[in-house]
Amino acid sequence: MAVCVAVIGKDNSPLYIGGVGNDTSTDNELSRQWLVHTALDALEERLATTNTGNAGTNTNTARTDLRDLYLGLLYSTDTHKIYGYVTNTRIKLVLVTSSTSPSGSNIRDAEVRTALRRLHALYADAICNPFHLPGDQITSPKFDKQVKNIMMNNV
Amino acid sequence: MADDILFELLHSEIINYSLEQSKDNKEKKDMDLSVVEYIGFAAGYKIMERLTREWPRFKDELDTMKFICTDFWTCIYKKQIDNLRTNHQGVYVLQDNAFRFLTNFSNGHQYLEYAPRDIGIKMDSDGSKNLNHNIRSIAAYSIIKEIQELLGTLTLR
Amino acid sequence: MRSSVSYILSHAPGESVMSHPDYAQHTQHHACLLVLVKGVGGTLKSFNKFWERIQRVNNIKVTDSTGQVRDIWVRYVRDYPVENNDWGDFQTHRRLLGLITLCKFTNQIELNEVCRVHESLKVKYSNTLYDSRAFMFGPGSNMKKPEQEPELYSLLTDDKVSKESSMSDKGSLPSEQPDSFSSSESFPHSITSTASYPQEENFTTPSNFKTHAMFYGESDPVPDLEQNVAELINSLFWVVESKRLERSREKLEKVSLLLAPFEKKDFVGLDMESRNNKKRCMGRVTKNLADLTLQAGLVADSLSLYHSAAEILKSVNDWLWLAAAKEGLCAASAILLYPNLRNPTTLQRNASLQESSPNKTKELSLFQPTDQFRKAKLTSSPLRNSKTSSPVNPPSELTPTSSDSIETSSRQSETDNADTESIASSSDIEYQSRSYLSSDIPSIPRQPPSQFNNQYLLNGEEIAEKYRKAIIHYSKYQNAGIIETEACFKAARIAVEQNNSLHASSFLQNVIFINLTLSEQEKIQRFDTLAELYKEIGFLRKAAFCQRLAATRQVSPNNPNPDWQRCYYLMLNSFPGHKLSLDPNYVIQHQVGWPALQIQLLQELVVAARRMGHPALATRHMTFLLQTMWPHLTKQEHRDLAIQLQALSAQCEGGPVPLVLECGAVIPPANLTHAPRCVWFGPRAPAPAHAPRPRAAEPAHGPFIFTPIVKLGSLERNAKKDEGKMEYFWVEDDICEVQMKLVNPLPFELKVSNMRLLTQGIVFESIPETIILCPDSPTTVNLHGTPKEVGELQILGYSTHTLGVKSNCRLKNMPMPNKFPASFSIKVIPSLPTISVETIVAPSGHISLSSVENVGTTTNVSLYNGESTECTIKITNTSNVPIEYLELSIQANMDNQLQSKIFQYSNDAILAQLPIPPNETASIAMKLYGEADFLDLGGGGTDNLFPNSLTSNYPSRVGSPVPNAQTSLPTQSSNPHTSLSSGLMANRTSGSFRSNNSHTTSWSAPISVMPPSRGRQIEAQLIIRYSGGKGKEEHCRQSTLQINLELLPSVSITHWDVLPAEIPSQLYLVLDVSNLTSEEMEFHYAPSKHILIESKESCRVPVPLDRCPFNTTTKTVEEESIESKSISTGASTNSLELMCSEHITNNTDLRWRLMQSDITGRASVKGITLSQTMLDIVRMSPLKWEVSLNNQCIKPQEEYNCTAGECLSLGVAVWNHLSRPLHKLCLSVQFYQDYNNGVLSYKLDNRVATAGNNKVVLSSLPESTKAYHECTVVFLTPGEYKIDIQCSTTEAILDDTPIIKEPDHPPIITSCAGEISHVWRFIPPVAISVTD
Repeated sequence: MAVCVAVIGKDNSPLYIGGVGNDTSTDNELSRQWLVHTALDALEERLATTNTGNAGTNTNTARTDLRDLYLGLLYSTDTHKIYGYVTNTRIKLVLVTSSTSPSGSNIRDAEVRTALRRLHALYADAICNPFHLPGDQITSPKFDKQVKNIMMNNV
Repeated sequence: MADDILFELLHSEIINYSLEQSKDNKEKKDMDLSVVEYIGFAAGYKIMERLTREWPRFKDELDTMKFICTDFWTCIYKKQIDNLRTNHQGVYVLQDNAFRFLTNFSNGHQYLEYAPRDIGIKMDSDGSKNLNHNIRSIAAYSIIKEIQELLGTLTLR
Repeated sequence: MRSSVSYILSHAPGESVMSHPDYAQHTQHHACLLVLVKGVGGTLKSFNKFWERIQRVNNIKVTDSTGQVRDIWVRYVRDYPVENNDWGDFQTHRRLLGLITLCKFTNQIELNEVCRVHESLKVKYSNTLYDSRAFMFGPGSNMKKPEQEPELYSLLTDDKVSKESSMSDKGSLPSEQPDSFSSSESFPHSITSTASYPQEENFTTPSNFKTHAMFYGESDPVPDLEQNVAELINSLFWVVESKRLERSREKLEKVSLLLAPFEKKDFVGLDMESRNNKKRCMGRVTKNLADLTLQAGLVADSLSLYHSAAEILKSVNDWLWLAAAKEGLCAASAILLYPNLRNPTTLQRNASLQESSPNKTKELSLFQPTDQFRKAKLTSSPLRNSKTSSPVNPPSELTPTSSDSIETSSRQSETDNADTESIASSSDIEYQSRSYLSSDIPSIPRQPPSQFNNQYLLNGEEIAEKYRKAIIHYSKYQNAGIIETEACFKAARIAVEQNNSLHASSFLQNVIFINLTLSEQEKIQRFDTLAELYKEIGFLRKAAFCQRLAATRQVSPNNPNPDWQRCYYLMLNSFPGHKLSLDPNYVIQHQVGWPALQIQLLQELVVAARRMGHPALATRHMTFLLQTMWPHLTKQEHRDLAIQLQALSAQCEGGPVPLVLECGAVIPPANLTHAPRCVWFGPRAPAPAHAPRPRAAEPAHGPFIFTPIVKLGSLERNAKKDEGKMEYFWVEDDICEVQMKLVNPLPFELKVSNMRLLTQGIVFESIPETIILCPDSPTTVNLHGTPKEVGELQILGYSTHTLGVKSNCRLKNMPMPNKFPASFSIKVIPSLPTISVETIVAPSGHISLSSVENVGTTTNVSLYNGESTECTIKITNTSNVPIEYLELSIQANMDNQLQSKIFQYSNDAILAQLPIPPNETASIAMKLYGEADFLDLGGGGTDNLFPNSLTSNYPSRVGSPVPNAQTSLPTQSSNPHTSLSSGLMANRTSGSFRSNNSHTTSWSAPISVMPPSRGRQIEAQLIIRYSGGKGKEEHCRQSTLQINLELLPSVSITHWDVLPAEIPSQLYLVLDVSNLTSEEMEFHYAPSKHILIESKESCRVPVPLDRCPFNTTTKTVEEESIESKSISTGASTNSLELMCSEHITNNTDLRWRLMQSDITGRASVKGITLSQTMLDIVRMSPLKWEVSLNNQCIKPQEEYNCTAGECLSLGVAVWNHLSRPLHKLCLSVQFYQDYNNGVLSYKLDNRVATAGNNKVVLSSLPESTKAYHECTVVFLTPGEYKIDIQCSTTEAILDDTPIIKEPDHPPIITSCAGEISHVWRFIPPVAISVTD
């Protein structure tokens, strides 16, 4: 199962970070933030190479198509796998699965892709909320609920 | 049809309104379009998120510009850009020979001075979109011989 | 990149597991000779210098036996674990080949000791060590080199070499031995140089010390250090070279199996004869040879060797060594592809130590490898290739031709299947490996001709790929963890060189998975290296993450010796990764990064700083945290952090000064602008009393122009247009004030002490302020200070000291949203004096003291109308500037003329007292007079006292408004408003009164507004403008003194009339005087005449007066007649009236005195009006009478006696005193009897007989001429008779044409009877008593 989902703005400011499980404890929250934050480097690097086009073709990460918004597995630590997805508007979506838990360890790439696609859709709806100012954090509980949903059942 | 004109009317009213608002507090003569621009920005920001959702990643600027000229333009102005030129150094010239917000102006030059304000909102909606593409854009517009014609220059940095 | 197979052939970590990863290792080190440099004995102060110098000798060139120039690279280490040495067979560059000791000794014993240490070191690494040097630093500058024959060493090396190269045929060895020495000229030279010291002291090295040692004085420059090192390397090279050759000549059958340390038991009991193991041996040996070749400087050749080794090993699934081979291949390729790896990295690795490397090494390492690289790549001319790429030409029978190597390899390619890599080269290799078994004279393939080299040479991508494979293979062996880790780092470094961040990151990522049993220190080092590399590829966040991990490790509980300092610095260095800057303002301006993480980091940083015993830093960082992260913190967090900060600052309070760390980093100050938060800041204009005003300007815009509201507004404006330029001035040496509103956002009381103003420009003394702010309630604070110079003062902000932290809060750094101008600038003018005013009112003696601070201290004076009093104003100069200019002015709600009557002072008297030196007092006398109008205009209780006069009074005065209007017009128009309004306020209560004579109010306002019957309030401001000092010309100060004057009614004159006096030159002015006071009053109405009037009583007094003299009259009449020809004589008469009233006013001297409260005052009949008849009495008549009876003149009041029947002759002479002729004078004489009961009878026809006219008409009487008329009269019966003599003119109503007639001309006489315009009487009438 995905332990964490994050939406990050084009200026790499956190727009939304949600996690399932006992995410009330702050340290958990923090660790989640560390996780996503450190993932940004790889994400950006990947993006840069994507745009310049001459990215290393034979990297072992699952990157089917350069023009895919879904970047696939960014990298994996001993505990987590981190997947990236960048919209055309440079909004970065990050999904973290725990490689320790059985459900997370053998998750298929396709599932993550669909999950992130849906997340993107949710985001697009969320910012159409008239009370949401561009560039602000997403605080809508509806969005939160839906995201949690994705993390729970889909993955 | 009705729904099209609806948007145009709404748009022109918005502009008139915001100009009214800005008139009293500002004494400087040049129009204060910040409100309009913000409206444009916010609207553009949100609509771009939707429009680009199903699109593959833009390879480069040109790709982006193509998107602007076709999908974006069609979505907002119900037509595509008539002419796109670029020097491949980040300067793009968009030409729309029948700019939707200007076609309602009567032929002739008496409205020339009012034209810029109506462009205000448009300029910004794609200004915002460019922002959304992490491209700082400076948009300069000039109305040329026919008032319906819009010549927009985007300098992408 | 983990291998799916986990830990095949894995064992419980054996004792020989290499447990000390060498993170600093680079790829190119595969080609380096490893030399240990150690300091022995006492600490050598110049050790680091030597260490640098030695390190610069990292590349020397050696010409080998064939004249081929090899360039050899060296890697120096400071210490080297022996365990790693054990892996020397696995990768030869891990062998420690050389030893250099820098020994310090002062005496023989120490010398022996250091020698022992050196030897023991040699023993420690004995199984790999080839050669060593000892640099001995003894006492004294120059010392004798102890006797120790170099042959020892040469022998040593000699037999060592011979021993090591035992199996090798002696053929080649001697051939190179000699020129090995010849090639290194430095060797003998060095000996001579060291030997050249004159003998001074005798130190002898112990006999067991068999090392080439060089002796220097402690402070010697050691010129030949480099030479000696080079020479050491040289000798090392030859050993390596010899081993390489020896290895290359081995018979493949006999090669022994090389083992990695942990493999020992894997192969016990395996029969070495099995084909697999034979190949294994061959592969490993080949790999080993490749290593040596690489070290020996034959990079190109090593390529092929590695390649073939790889092929062989793959065939036998010897993953570990296969990996090593691949790695070697990568290394060799990398060295060729990226030659500058070698130099820059080595330089950069110890860049911290050395500033500039000598040109020699640089150009060597720069140009040398490159051209070799180029040659390696160049495939065109075989000639050159053979020359370059086969530097060593071994004996020909051993070298197979390149051709057969090819064709051998070309077969066997079929057998190989599972090979995915390097298809290009796979074919030939396989054959080679096969050829080993088949060929009876097998031999290790020599380096084939170089046109094949480039096919082994890997390009960038391949290197990465091979490394990846190698790592995967390593990962199969738990015990090879270290090797794998190092490989990862090497690979990453290569990727960095290729700047392919993704590869690099993936390699680095892999490091984390390798689980090793490492000491904390090593783990930390690992993270350090990771961080460093991540930095290099621009993964700042990751770098920061690793740094933080390292930092936490530093102090983790299971760390035996936590090092908070290192922890602190690690965290500090991770700032950029968290998008943090040390400068708080920067952070605030660009809010980037992730607050949550930043906050976490900062908090940890604070802890680290505290634990490492640097409280100042802790405080600083905590302040920084509060200041920068404020918006992201909850209220609770604010509170907690604030409390923590207080605790920290208790140990060391924070100040606004940058802190400099040992590492040289500067931590700029962090200023708390959030607690307390300033919501309003603005300088204030000086208090009105102190405000300097331009002297030129009118003080008219009184003290009320500087109300706070006005100031506030003006400030707002200034804030809007930036450069908050104040339009008012501050005064040098004055206390000036800045007002600010502070909010304490913290939930507890906040004590802010020592608040000052931050200024620039002129000198400004700020007075510290201390306040206590309650939570969340805006508090207004005033900061004071005194400018000490004249000029432009800029106020930049304020400084606080709260929570134990001193902060300089500058306006330009203020947090949003309240926008302040960057600074307020105020003009400071030269200092002006200040005064304190004190007023003393004489009679009441009541004193009002007034400090200048509060405006207009009020002095209350109450006066009766007509009373006057003295008021002294004491002005004390309280400043130390002399007052050189002083000016009084009165502002009151009345017109100036009246005001000048009430307040009387002399400016000259004031000027006379200037200047007033400091602390001196000047007193100004001012006279207050209760000016009032005492005539009660039909006001008070009007019971008609004497009707006839009054009836004649009223119309006359009411009915003749015009002229007075003229006269009083100026005063009226001067300020109609004041007069009118004051009129209103003066008698608001008496509607009746004003309705009575509304026109009266209109025509003489200032007078009429003061009814004598009621009291009035006069509010006046005494404005004192003063100045002094330098700025006295431009500016002055003004202080205001409020004077409330209460005028009480004293007397009023309700009615008046005039009566002729006994003597014609006099008259009586009869007044009804009423005493309006509550006391008995003594009223003086004439010299030596007074009357007592009860309170509220009124009584009638006759005031004797001289009649209005003519000469004064004439003039007035004159101009009157001139200016107003046209207007009727009424005009002239009215002007006369006015003149008369003035005459009366001036000549009456009315005084009153209250009996109890002995108060005296005056009264006047100013503005008294007179009717026509009154005028005649008041004025002297223009005609002078001379009346005589029987030619004897008659005196007034005298009675004439005669007898009945007696004939009297009455003579009347009339003088014209006018300055013009009178025309048509009708002189008449009439007899009547006065019954003294008010009845006069003129019917005397039967009692009196007259002879002659009793009426004559004088056609004209020129000026100052006399007309005489005489008639005779006989009284027939006795009685009292009176004669009324009067003279009347009809001139006024006649037209101008003069009619000249004879004196006695009947028609005229008749004509002149009747209409009479004016009549003069002879008063008193002549009285005659007739007796029988």
